[in-house]
Amino acid sequence: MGDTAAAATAANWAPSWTVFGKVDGVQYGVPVKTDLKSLVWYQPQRFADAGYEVPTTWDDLVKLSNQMIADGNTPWCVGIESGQATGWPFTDWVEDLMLRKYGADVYDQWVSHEIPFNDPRVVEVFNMVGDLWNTDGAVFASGGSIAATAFQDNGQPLVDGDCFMHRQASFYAAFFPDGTKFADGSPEAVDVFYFPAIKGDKPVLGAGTLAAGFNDKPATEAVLEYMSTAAYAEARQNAQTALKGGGLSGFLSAAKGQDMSIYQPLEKSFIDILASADPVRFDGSDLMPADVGAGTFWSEGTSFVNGDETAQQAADKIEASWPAG
Amino acid sequence: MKSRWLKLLAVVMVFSAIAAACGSDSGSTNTASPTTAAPSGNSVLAGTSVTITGPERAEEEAGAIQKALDVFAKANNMTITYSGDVDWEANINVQVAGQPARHLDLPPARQARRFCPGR
Repeated sequence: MGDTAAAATAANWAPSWTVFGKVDGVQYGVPVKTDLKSLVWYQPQRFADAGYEVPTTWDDLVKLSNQMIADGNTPWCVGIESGQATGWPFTDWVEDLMLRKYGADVYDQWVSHEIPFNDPRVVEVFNMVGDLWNTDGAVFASGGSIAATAFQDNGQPLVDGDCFMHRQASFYAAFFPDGTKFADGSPEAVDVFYFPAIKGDKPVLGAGTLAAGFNDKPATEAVLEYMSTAAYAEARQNAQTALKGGGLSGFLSAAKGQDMSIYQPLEKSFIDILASADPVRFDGSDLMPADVGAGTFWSEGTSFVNGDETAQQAADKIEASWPAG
Repeated sequence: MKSRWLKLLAVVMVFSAIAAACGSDSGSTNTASPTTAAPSGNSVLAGTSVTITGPERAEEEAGAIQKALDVFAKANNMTITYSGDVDWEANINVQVAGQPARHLDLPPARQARRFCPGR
């Protein structure tokens, strides 16, 4: 893109988001849509009825999980089955915790293979996830096991009271039963809280869409510039809300200066988290070579979740699969 | 807000003559403020057309993208056409190598740089 669209992108988006479209200091893409992954879905009224508070640190989240088990409740709904992509929800957990425990620099080194996939820190994070999930009574999996439970099938058990929490991205609103109320203050409403940090920062795992130009004509440049603005985000949000018949649009943008009145309460929660996020990192498996990010990270991660491999064995196999060069 | 946009347009015209299609270093030009209004009234754009392709193809998503682009197109008397492609990721190489789309939505930036030899 030209300098004007690049400057507009820098003006309309925080650096933590523009970096996704930048290579070696050159802006190639304009962020146009944002996905927020660092979320835990829950029902505030059920938390209140049980005397639970939303955790704000990772230690508090683990304590809460253990307290729920001690109380005879099941803290988590987890399912990672997704057809050919089975395992991807596990990779999101690992990525979120790598970012939290070891920070953005190590996360970047891991994603770009500057450190091997079987680095001890990665193995440790595999085990953090495994320890949480494998604690007796920690997980409700409607399919009988985590790997056999479809990722889409965790909304119903959460509203049925089979579990108290489900960690999944902003788009997951679409996988709750029809008629589910979101963040409207009603007793059965479903809401989200921020997946807590470990070190006192506010890291967010995100994903999204970028737009890029393939010629330098003024019209191309002008449209790219427009797509970077709050005006584009607002127009798309209004249109998508209308086309979906109201309620949650499924669209989300972290562009600066948007009119927040056009968003539903839950969508505002997403944007509040995005606005204060730092650092933000793109979904790591999406950035890794496909053989790994859409291959062995999913499959070997699933083998680890199933107990067929240790974290070290899974990480070793993933490392061995990383393409040369 | 309009005056700010007109200022940006002036920059567009200056840089369009020299900007590379495949990206430019924004490090020294980041002086604009956030832009929240749909820009309009640029005579340079009148009568032009821009084609955008991307992976979003569900009616709600693709339709919303088109409507959002139409706001800008109508304000500038131009045409912007979005089309979603079920095989977008497979087809993008062909589109760029053959009859290029002028914009495209894409996964991370390195995939864009693939199409920019010499950078």
